[in-house]
Amino acid sequence: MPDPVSKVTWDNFVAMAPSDAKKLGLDEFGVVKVTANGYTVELPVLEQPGQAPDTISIAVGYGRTAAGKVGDNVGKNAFPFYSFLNGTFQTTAQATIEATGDTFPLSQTQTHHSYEGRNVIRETTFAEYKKNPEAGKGEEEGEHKKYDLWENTNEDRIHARPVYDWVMAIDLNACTGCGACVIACSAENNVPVVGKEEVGRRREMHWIRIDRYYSFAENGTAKADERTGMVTKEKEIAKLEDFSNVTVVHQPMLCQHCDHAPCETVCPVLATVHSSEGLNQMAYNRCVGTRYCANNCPYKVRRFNWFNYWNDSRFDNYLNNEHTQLVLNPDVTTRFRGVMEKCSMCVQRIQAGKLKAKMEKRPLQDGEIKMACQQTCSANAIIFGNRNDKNSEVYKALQSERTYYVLEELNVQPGIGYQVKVRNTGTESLA
Amino acid sequence: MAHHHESIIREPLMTGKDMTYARITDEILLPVENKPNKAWWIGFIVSALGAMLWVVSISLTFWYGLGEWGLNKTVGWAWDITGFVWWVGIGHAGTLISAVLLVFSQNWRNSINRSAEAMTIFAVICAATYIVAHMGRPWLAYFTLPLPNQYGSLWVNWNSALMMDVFAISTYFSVSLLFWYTGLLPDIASIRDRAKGLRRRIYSILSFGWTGSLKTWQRFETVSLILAGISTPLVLSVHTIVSFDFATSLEPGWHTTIFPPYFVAGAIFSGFAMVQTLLLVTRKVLGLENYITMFHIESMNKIILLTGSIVGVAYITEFFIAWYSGVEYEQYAFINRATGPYWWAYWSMMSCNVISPQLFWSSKLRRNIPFSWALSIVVNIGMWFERFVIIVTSLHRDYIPSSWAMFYPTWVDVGVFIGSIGVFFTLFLLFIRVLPSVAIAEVKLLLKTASEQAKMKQIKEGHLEPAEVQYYKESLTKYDSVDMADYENV
Amino acid sequence: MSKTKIILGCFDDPDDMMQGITNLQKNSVPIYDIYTPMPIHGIEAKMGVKDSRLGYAAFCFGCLGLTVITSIVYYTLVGDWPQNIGGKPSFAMPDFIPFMFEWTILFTAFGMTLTFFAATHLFPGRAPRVMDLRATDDRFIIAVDAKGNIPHDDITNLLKEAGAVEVKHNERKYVSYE
Repeated sequence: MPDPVSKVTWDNFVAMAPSDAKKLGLDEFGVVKVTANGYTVELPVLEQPGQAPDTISIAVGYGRTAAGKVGDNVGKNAFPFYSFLNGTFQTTAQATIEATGDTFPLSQTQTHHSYEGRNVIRETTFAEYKKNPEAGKGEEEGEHKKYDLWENTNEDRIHARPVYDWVMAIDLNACTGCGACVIACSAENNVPVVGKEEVGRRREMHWIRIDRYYSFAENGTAKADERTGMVTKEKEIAKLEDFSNVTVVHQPMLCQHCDHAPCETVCPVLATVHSSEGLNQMAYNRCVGTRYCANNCPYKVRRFNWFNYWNDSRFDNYLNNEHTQLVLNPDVTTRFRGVMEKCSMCVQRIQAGKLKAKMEKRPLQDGEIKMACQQTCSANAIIFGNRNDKNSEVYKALQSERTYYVLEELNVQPGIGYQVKVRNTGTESLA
Repeated sequence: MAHHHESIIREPLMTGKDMTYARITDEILLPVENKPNKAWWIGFIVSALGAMLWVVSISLTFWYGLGEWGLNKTVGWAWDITGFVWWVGIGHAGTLISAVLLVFSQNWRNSINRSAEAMTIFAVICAATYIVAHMGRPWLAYFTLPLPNQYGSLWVNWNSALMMDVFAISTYFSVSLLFWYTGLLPDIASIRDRAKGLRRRIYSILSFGWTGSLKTWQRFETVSLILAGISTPLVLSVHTIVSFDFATSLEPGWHTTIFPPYFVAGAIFSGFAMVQTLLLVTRKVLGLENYITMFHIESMNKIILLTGSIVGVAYITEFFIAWYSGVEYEQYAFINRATGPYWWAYWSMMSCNVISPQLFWSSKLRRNIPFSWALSIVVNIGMWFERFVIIVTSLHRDYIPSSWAMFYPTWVDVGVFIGSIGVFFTLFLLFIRVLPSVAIAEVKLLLKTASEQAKMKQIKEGHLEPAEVQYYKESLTKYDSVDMADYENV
Repeated sequence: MSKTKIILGCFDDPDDMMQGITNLQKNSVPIYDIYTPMPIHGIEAKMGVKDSRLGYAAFCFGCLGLTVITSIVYYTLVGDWPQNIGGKPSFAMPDFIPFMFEWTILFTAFGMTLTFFAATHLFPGRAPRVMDLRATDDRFIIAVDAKGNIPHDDITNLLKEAGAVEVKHNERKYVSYE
């Protein structure tokens, strides 16, 4: 699972302020020797905005020797940096750092850390919100007219969603970026663990991901975006002198189950079509692996099985081992190589819930079916339900004045509504 | 027509003294009827090594999975579709020469159309291998065909541009093959009638029993003309459909209506460049300078100049529309192409495709054979980069910045591409050994009207304007197959 | 009785051969067939051969192709199993045009060419009915049936006057390939 802030997988590292890294003349992932309390490790450096200058931090819990393939030889043990003083462990120490000149590549699931002023992320301040509850949503840019090139297709037999219309509401305010939803989804849906090398090649298989974006306060010669007042464009970030004044926003991104899904139109073999309950379906058995759907998805939420992760001896993951295979969820099929996969809105849980209600001869209640991600989220940031039910929690959440849809101007009509992040500052500027 | 005289100011389409119909047959069939020379063997061994590299790379891909390539979840297509579009584009020049020039009664196509059409067929074969190879589960490629099945008869997606590709490429391949082979029948009959033993039997089967009778020729010409007439919109539609793979997508940099004409022009551009690459060498090695003359070379260079300019205008238009549209994603896509991590690919594309063909405005360079050959290679490299830039730069940085990722090719990617070039040249070299690389029957049509010999006879008859004769003599100086000494006293 | 079955006038120039045809026609000698290594312009008009109807066949095949593909697309996506593909209507017309176009062309090409092969009796393995081996090389042959009423010498003279380089009196109509 990628570290929520650094997005690094499989290793620990030295988090250093960008100005310090520049002072030491370090390249990206340059290895340094850190010595403190008589213990030395060599770890690569990651430039971490927000890390206080003249300090570094190293995550503990790595470098294990008896943890099996998940933990053995992954990263370096940082516990010996602890000292014991007056009955408590001291988690800080004076350290000396020496550049070694080597580099050690780290595998991150995200390498671009700013949202470039694009309205995929919408945030505002509490002061603004108090004045106008729709602040930050971008309505001032003009209402995007909903139109269709085709007439009346939402109501005919093929396209109507008469009974259920499964959608989600994700509150950016509540999301802490912890990543529990990522783990829950991977566990529920038998998502393969691909290993450090594959993650380094940008092939991790997580069906839901947490996008973490930094936005900086204006300083130096960098210019802020007009819309947000923060510096988020790559070109401008390069001109910043001080990276300390940084804010972070986390956005869980998963298949949006678009009603006008761009992926469905381009699959040559009809492996992905829309269900009468609003889900974008993925038929693994039909997929021939042309990857056109993944190229066409503007949210880039589709994942391709590049190898037989469950059957290729080069991958030593839980799918391969005859004992850990017992961990697999029997309700979800595993996928062969060459097949596309993505968030299915836990369709196995939806079907199980509907079946239970049917067997008990009663209608389905709101909240009876829980998504794996929703169930695990400790902040209740994810709400799932039936949009057709006007009393459902999700319907009420989507009515909120803070609701917006990512890339709605593309008219793909996504089914996941996000809610504007409101930062608790008394000022009107986000910076 | 018995008394058809072409104007003297038209340059000859066939040169050489004492040309007879028999001599045409003999010279063109020389590589077919005799053992190959050293040049052919060297070329063949190198190409065959390339073809073996292809076999190895494709086997690795099929065995282990597409993970052997450098693709990832952001950049789902890179060298595979670049290669596919490159090969299909190259193929289009052959059909243009065979079909479009026939429709426009351009007789200079007669000597180059056979090789060009063969090039089309081999290029489309290479493109088709890419389509199958790039699939995750290629053994299920038949899922793309609308065959009744047990899945409730699950049909195919007629909305998808890839489905359109399946139909377009298969139609293009089969119609081109049909057109090429029908045109070959008289020439195969020529080989048959001169051969002995097993060769005669094989070529007899291949010739379908061609006799060259009156009614056969009449029908043949009708069929050729109609096939040419329908192949013309076919070639335009096929590359339009290939461009739809991108134009019907949402990605910034792909979602643009200029792609159909832009791709078609680019295809003709790269196709003619490949024809030049092949024919400039072939004519020298096989001794066909009398049939593939400077007129042909210069005309093809002029087409390269024209289509290269169209491609250049298309680039500028794309850039302008991205700016004018005000769409931040589209604008970013273009700025990223020129200044982002793949700027070197973009500028290679620009210099190879836009700047270098402009050199052909100079008639001296246009008529220079080594320069033409070198430029044809440059153009093809540039066109490869064009497809690479379109595919990879648009995918690697699209709407959501968190997915932005780099693409790096692996050795298998490179092996498949270089290998496909090896396969192409292997097929072409085999072709010139087995079948006539120039259309014998069509070139014979030119002997009495458009050949240097016929024009010399016309001049000697003395009924022509002296100014026109002088103009004609001056135009002959650029030919490398004409001995100007013959014209001193005429 | 002469065993000559066929008289061949072999010319080395197409214009001479056209003159030969004129000579024969003026003397009402029926011409059996003409064999040339390349098509000769204007010969069909001279010989009174009707235009080929392959063009009409091509058109019909084209219409057939259009009908076939439209039916297939309509049946599969609208009739048999209409699906919700990206919210598009089942008969998403603009998307179907490329298919209609391609199969019109495919059927036209194959239909017409296969008709051509069938009508002209061309198929792989067909024993070639060749009268002179150089007809596909550098000779233009006029074939006259010797079993008619016209004396062979007259025919020979007419051909020689037009400029035939050789006049053959063959006992076998076709050259044997054995």
